[in-house]
Amino acid sequence: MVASQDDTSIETTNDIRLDSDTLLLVRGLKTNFYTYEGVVKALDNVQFELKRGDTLAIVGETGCGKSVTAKSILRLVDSPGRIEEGQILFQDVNEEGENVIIDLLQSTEDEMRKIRGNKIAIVFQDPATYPNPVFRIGDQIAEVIALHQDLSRDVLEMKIARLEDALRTNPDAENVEEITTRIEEYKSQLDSPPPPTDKEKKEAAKKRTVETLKLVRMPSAEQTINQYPHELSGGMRQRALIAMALSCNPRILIADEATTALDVTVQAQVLKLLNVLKTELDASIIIITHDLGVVAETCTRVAVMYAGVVVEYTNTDELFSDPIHPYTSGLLRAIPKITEKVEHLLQITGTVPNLIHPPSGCRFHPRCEFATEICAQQRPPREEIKPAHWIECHHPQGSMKGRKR
Amino acid sequence: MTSSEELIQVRNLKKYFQLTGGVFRKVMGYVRAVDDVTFDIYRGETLGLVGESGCGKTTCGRTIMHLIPKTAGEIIFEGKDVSEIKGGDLREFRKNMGIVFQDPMASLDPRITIKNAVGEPLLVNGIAKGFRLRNMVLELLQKVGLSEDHLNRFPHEFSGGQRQRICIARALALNPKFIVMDEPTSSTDVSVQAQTLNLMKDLQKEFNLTYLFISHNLSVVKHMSDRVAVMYLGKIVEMTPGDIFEDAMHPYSAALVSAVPVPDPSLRGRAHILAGEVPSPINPPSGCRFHPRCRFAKERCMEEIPELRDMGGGQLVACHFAGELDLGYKEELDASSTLAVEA
Ligand SMILES: Nc1ncnc2c1ncn2[C@@H]1O[C@H](COP(=O)(O)OP(=O)(O)O)[C@@H](O)[C@H]1O
Ligand SMILES: Nc1ncnc2c1ncn2[C@@H]1O[C@H](COP(=O)(O)OP(=O)(O)O)[C@@H](O)[C@H]1O
Ligand code: SF4
Ligand code: SF4
Ligand SMILES: [Mg+2]
Ligand SMILES: [Mg+2]
Repeated sequence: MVASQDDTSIETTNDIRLDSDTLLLVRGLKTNFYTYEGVVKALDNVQFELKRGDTLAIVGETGCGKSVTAKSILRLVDSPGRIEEGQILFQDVNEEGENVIIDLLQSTEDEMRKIRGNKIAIVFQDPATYPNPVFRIGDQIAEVIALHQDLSRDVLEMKIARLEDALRTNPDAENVEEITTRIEEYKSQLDSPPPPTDKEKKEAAKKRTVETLKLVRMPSAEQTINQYPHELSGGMRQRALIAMALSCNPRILIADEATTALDVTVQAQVLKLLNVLKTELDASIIIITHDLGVVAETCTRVAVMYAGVVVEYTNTDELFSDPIHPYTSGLLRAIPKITEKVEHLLQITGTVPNLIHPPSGCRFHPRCEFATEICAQQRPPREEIKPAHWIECHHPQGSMKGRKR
Repeated sequence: MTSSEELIQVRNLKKYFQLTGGVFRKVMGYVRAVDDVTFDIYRGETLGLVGESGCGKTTCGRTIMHLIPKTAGEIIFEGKDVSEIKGGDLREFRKNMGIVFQDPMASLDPRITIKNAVGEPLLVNGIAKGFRLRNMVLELLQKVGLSEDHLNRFPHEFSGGQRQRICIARALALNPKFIVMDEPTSSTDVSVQAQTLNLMKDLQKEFNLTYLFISHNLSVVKHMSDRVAVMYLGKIVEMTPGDIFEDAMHPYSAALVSAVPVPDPSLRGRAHILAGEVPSPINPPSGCRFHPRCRFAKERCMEEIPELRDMGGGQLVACHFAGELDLGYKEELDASSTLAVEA
């Protein structure tokens, strides 16, 4: 069942087919950084898929390429970095409700600007530096909304609501008839609302801001919009960031170590919130983390990365019950367990390699207890070793130990 | 080898930081970082100190080591009140204690070779110099798994895990009896963390060391410790020689246990997620400091500070209703029920 790295060679985006439930397919992604010391081969042939409704984990140790993967998806890799190869296929729905497939790596910068924040949003780790410390929380979110969203319908709806309110509170007013016709007139415009004034737009954006903050369960959202980031606790700042990311109803939310700086009890709140929102908003999530506990608790599918390579990719239960790649099982054994107490933890010897001179063949081979000659010579092919369970390894372990090819 | 002989006795220890403000640097209030804690550390044991950030773990460790002056209380080391040690005796006393910090890069001078960094305490204390110093340093480096060709290298030439080993070697230089490990693996990756934790356990056996092991990571604390103390807002709320994941009796400890993300999907789901965040230690809540977040809080909790009470078997709990509450976190570990996130 060896699948070659480029099983389908696709020239143009037109003939690409994706399963209807595949939202994002990253394939053959290669990203380098051109530094003074040399070329950092940060990502080498990264491949994984995000299914609709999934919470996908990208897990791995520091420097394995998690953030570069996220930045590559959004085409935010800055110089000296460069995306060299690959496809990032995003399955979107166009205005006619048809599925369209866009290769983000072929999109223009203009198209990317529309996708970032709108379709694919990202939340970073450090809530102290984001959001911008000198602006009020509400203004920052409102700005994002005003920038990305067509608010003309919101404005019209607000006008209608206000008039209806007036009718309700004062049903015997002289101008009832006039108001009623106005309402009818506005309602008839709902399908193609007129462009609002800047003031109206601002008001609508503010209303949406409050709604979004309520969505992330921000206590007293109406007050929070007037606060500055430093006036909020770490957990609340992170909620504000998530609100900002969600304000444009993205289809994919990427959370890059978004809960790492938080205390466990607050992390638990935020992780739970993310998954609740995923369902409420019909979005899909990519959670980037180094914490396998977070993966087990919150994610449905996992891509394990090591030194710029996705070494194992499968669903969460499968990964934890039958880890097949030696790196994954090594990691799992290195974590202190809460259910048993051992004198010594099993350790992976050595350290993460320098990606300017990554090890030949399998990048894990200098640290792998199962390595043989071939491991140093050839990169293992990406292989579906069990149904929906992909690995890159010459000598699979777990239930596939001793398997002959 | 844990014994029942106290190496360190901490009695009613308080550490308040002054908050000053205005043109005249007027005292505006106090951060009650450590507020009346009492506990013993036995010779040869590892006492784990766990709690969320800002609860006072680091301050507690530093005050015990006499690195920062205490506000009130007593610290008794091998029967002697530490605050009565003065002058040259203080330097002698300090040799008994070592400390390892979270960020090894910050505690190593980038311009100083490893040989000089690890040798510094030996040189300063007039224990060795020249070739003898070099050999002593080499021996220390070998103890932590480094070798001769590392001697003349600089910190940036090492990985994070290796740097932490260098810091451990330096902490060991003066042959201390007691080492404070302050989040020693909190900035390292799991594969390296396992190496560091194993090393610390081996060294403890070899040199009969006593550790105060500070971490916010409950799983790591459980792995390392003979007893675990849980801190919340400057106070110790629970101290247990048992398994904190199994026996927690304080509502906060139980909440902490159920919040830990467990790398095992079969244990997924928690029925109770603690709402809110840790309040400021400047004006901590009255009575039981946990009461605004405690789902069992009653009127008494707002007025009366709960004392640590012995619940049997050496387990101490500071809750008015300890032993009477259905904490229910054990069932929660395997229940996959979902409670709406609280605002
Ligand atoms: N701006 C940059 N310049 C040079 N190298 C970089 C840059 N950003 C990332 N890298 C390298 O790319 C690799 C992956 O980094 P990253 O994706 O940030 O890792 P992580 O998994 O910790 O998020 C690392 O080896 C890192 O050194
Ligand atoms: N030098 C200091 N001056 C003022 N406040 C401090 C100082 N050091 C620590 N604090 C405060 O004391 C409390 C406890 O801090 P710390 O002991 O570092 O907690 P932990 O190690 O548990 O995270 C925090 O509120 C912190 O802000
Ligand atoms: S390919 Fe070889 S070196 Fe790489 S993980 Fe598999 S067995 Fe180990
Ligand atoms: S004393 Fe009261 S508020 Fe404090 S933990 Fe116990 S029940 Fe909760
Ligand atoms: Mg990162
Ligand atoms: Mg600390």
